Amino acid sequence: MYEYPIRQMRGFRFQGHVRSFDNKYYLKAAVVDEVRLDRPYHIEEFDFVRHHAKAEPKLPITGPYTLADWSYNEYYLSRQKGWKGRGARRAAQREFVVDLARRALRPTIQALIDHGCRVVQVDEPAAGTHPDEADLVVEGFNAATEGLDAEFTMHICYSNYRDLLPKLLEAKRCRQWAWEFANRDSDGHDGYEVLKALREYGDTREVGLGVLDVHRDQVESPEVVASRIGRASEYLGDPHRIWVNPDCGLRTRSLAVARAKLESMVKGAAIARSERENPRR
Amino acid sequence: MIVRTGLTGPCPRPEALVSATRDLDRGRTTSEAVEELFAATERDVVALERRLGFDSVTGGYLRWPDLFRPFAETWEGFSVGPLTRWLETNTFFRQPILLAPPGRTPGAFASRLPPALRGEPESGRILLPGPYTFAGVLDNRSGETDEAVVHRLGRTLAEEVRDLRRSGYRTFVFSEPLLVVRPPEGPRAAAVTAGYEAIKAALDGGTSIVWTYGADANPVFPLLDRLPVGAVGVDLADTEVEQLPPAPRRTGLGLGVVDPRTTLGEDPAEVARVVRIAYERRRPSVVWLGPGGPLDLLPWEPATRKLHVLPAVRQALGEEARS
Repeated sequence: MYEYPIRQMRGFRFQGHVRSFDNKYYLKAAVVDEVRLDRPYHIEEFDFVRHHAKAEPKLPITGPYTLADWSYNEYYLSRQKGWKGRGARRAAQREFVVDLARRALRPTIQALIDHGCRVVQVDEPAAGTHPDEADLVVEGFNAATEGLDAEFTMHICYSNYRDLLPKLLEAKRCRQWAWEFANRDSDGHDGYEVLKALREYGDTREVGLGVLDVHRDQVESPEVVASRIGRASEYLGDPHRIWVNPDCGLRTRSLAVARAKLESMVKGAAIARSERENPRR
Repeated sequence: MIVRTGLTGPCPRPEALVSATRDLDRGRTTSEAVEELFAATERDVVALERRLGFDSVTGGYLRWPDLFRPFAETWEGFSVGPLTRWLETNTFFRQPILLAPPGRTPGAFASRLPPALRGEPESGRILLPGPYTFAGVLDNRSGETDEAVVHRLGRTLAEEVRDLRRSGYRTFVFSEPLLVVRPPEGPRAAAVTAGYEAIKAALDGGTSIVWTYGADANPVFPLLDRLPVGAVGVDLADTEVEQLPPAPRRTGLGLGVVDPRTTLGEDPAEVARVVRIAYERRRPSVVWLGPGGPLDLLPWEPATRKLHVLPAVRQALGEEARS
């Protein structure tokens, strides 16, 4: 979700691997020149999925803020004069995010729409990294989607969502928040309670509810999934706004574990629906 | 001006070690082969630190999964919790869960130190979580108040320091980003000071450095100046040097002048200029220069390239003698 899009652009140079956690790493590039798009990407993947899917495909694409945050900023930072303190870094980052959104993301999403894509998920897992930059996340999202005719959702994970509110709500073209919760849901800690914040701000958008922890092999039982959906419904006050999904991408798991988790998720959603229709007394 | 240089956090893993640890997870190599590579790389890091003229060496702390795991896995009262974002970075740690008052098994933490340090412990630099940051990141289910946990962690860390001093280690860097990211107030600030009092009592002539990063340290100097430690470090990428409180300080001042958030190299002349400003404002007994935050936010190549600014700055400042 990082290396592939960056390789479709010019202005970047890969620097080496950075550890994310344990023995998990990602390759990180530096922007060393103005961002330019070589060619729109994800087109072939979208065509493949659409050909095989029975339902409307949702196309996830890494957002401009995350691409910028996961890169080192050399080019835009070097244009700032003097000591490269907080103010210089922020100004340079804003230029970088907006250039990515306008010069790379928007033309790519336009090309996807031209290929028949109707639902685009802008992945911004880095959104929570610097809560005081929530305005940059929104600025990047708005610039990348401006004037485009599709449904947009935004995925964020491993973040303190409250810290991003209410600024994040200014992403007006976003129809759904797809967030991670299961990772933080454990005995003694309700990972879904944070959903109350959306209610407090009067936000009535859909929620893509993360019910599977994608960093552990242990498969959540359908009952656990159903219980998570039940709690989320209560906090949102409206079960119809919930779309059930894993916390994040499952690619760190084996295919067998990923499949078992997804099967459990579908069964859990069915239980939740059934409980909704036939509430226990 | 007395200038000393060294690392303030873990080093990144070189690409060969990245490949080897990935292969280990995928069952494509043996733990013995990876262990051999860890040991060789730690020796390489020590050699690099010596070449760069650092005053103490770390070996890079390449094996630690995160700053807290060596403690959460060896101290009593802990279990390891969910993956959690480390400050404003794209790196993560497993949140320690404190289930009961912490206790330590003597020697257990020391076994997690880089073996490359054991031959010459007096030149080793021990990396530890500061008690406030440690308490701030954990999930406290011990039944004790957060203030009590800060103080207790300070005392438990002090026991580690006492044992390590007996083994010959002299320099201890306490990673304390939360002191500036979420500054403590009232009883919690008092608990921080009490924790460092316990550590000071265990130092027995050793040096303690509290290293902050992640936010502007200037508003927190009234507390930082009260800490009974040898030096307090601030990250100059976040802390405006011209706003440093102009109070003379008898102890040391750490300055984070290598920014691990960008691969863009620092200009030695510009760094020297900023260090001079900081020195003039604070008049510290010693200036400790190092990376502003954890260097492992960078890949190995740019990280080690950027470190070369430190001896260049030292030279620019006219610092010839080590002490």
